[in-house]
Amino acid sequence: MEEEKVIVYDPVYCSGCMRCMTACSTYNNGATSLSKSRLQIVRHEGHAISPLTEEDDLIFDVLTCQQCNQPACVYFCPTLSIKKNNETGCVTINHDTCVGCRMCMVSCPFGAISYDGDRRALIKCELCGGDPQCVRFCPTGALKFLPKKEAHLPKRNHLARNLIQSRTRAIRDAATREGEHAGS
Amino acid sequence: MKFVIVGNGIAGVSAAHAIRKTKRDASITIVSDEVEPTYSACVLGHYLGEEIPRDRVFIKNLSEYAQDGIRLLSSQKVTGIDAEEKKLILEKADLVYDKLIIATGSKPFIPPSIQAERSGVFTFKSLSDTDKLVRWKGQSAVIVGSGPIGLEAGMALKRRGYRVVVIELLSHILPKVFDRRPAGLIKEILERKGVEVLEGERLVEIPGTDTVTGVATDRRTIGCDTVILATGMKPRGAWVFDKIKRGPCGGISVDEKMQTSLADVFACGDCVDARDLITGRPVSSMLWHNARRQGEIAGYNAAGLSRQYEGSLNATGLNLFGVQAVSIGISGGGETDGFAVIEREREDAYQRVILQRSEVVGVQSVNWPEDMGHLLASVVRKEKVTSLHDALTKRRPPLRTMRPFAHVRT
Ligand SMILES: Cc1cc2nc3c(=O)[nH]c(=O)nc-3n(C[C@H](O)[C@H](O)[C@H](O)COP(=O)(O)OP(=O)(O)OC[C@H]3O[C@@H](n4cnc5c(N)ncnc54)[C@H](O)[C@@H]3O)c2cc1C
Repeated sequence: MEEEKVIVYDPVYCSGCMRCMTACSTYNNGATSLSKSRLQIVRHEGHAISPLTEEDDLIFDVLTCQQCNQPACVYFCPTLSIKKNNETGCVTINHDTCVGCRMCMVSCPFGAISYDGDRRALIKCELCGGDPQCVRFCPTGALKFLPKKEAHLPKRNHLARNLIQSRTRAIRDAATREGEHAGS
Repeated sequence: MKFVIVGNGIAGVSAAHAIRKTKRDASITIVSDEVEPTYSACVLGHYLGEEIPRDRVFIKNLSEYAQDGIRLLSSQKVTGIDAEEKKLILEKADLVYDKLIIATGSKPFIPPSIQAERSGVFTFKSLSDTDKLVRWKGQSAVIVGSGPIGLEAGMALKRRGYRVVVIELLSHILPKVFDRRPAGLIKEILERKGVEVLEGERLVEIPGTDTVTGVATDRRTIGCDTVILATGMKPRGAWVFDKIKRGPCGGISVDEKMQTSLADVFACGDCVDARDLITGRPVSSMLWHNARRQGEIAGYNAAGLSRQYEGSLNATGLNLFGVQAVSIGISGGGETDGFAVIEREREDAYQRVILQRSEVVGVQSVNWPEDMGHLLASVVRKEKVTSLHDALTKRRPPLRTMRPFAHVRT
């Protein structure tokens, strides 16, 4: 049995170069079109594009299929065209039976399904059959393809890092305050 | 152990699959009074409008029942039950069960004052209704009722070249699903495509004796050769209704495990009143995704695996000649007290978020499908927001996977 693997995105390492998106659409559509990429790197509003600092390390985010355990799209599909593979965990759309009603798109909490008007088809990340091109072409390691069991590790590492940083900051601030006291 | 399921719609089939997943060698029988294997009612409009061929409506073919080890008794109607003896009464024979699942769905509700036995008068619920409409050679249709089913029928007939008039009793179309403002936008789209819409107008009678010549409303007479009565659906199951506890909307009353008031009898789909996700009160949901989930829950529990139903959620999508209109959760906000409404508009798109005590309880949109998914998640999670900005920017996806019904207690 194949081990279930998931795409994990680590915003801290993302530079927003969008190479993942061009790789995705080239592989899946045979042409480069950012709008037809099955994963979308989005920039949070209110941030300038500037070198990453400790405070704003989450400028970019990714919207793509999470290959949910109990996917909303599967329940909403009126023709049972969306299935989750028990082995790979991958959620796929059968285009032969899909009627294009878009309820999958409407129900997806991650905005991960989109409508390709040219092909009149709903499209989503199907892990490129097991070798996701976005991960392959990501130059910074922000995208990884990890066994599901390990998918939580980057998040945990960041939480730990943030905790340490905020503690360090608190200690530094306390030290500064004491210094000010001593000086006055 | 003998599992018997009455009804071969999505609820019954989902129940059968859940039982099969749990118990590899249980005996599973589905009884259905229809001839055909399971089809999707949601795409009957596509078939009627000639967007897909007839064979695309089926979601399961006969050989798949055999593969899954499910015995299908088609064209057989259940007429009664002996709950003490655990026995179903069919027209031809009796059928004993250890666990019973009632998934009898719904049937069209026709106002009792309307004499509808005329050729040219149709309902739009089943595949056989649709087949009749496909064979019918009409030219002008009046659709009575402007719910999603009425509008789907109207749009499909428009595609077939009919002249179409929709009449709605209440003051705006889609009264149960959309508020006045978005309903007005939907009406404009329909009218632009040549569908006439008459609001605040009551059907009085369908005159004539054998064949339809028109309909009479409280304001006028409209000539037509085809009438579709889309005046709502009601739960089906007369054979059991006087023996089982029922809910406030007339469906079979079920608990969180989809268990009924009768021992070893479960129910799911359009025929039940199940808990609403937002209000917590029993509702008759009559929607595909809820029927499907309820079927699974009923199947698992009947097979001895304890699972709880998260609750029914309204989520209705309408494709208006290519423009998507969506309603999620509660509607009626802004027209009653205690709700706050935030509206956003673009040139040809509209979005409405309905808040109750700062919680997102409803969302409606026309031509704005992009944000619907995470707003749906906000409704499910009862997210508190103080502004639309909050509602729309809280979209950071977690690194890990998430369940669609976030508060699942299984
Ligand atoms: C035209 C149309 C469009 C729709 N579009 C949408 C949509 O876009 N989105 C959405 O969410 N929902 C939609 N719905 C609603 C959705 O189709 C239903 O909620 C869903 O199909 C209900 O499934 P069910 O299994 O509970 O019931 P049903 O599909 O009604 O199945 C019940 C079955 O039980 C059988 N049965 C009943 N009584 C007996 C008996 N005594 N003996 C033997 N057999 C019996 C019936 O013949 C039927 O086969 C639509 C419905 C219609 C009619």
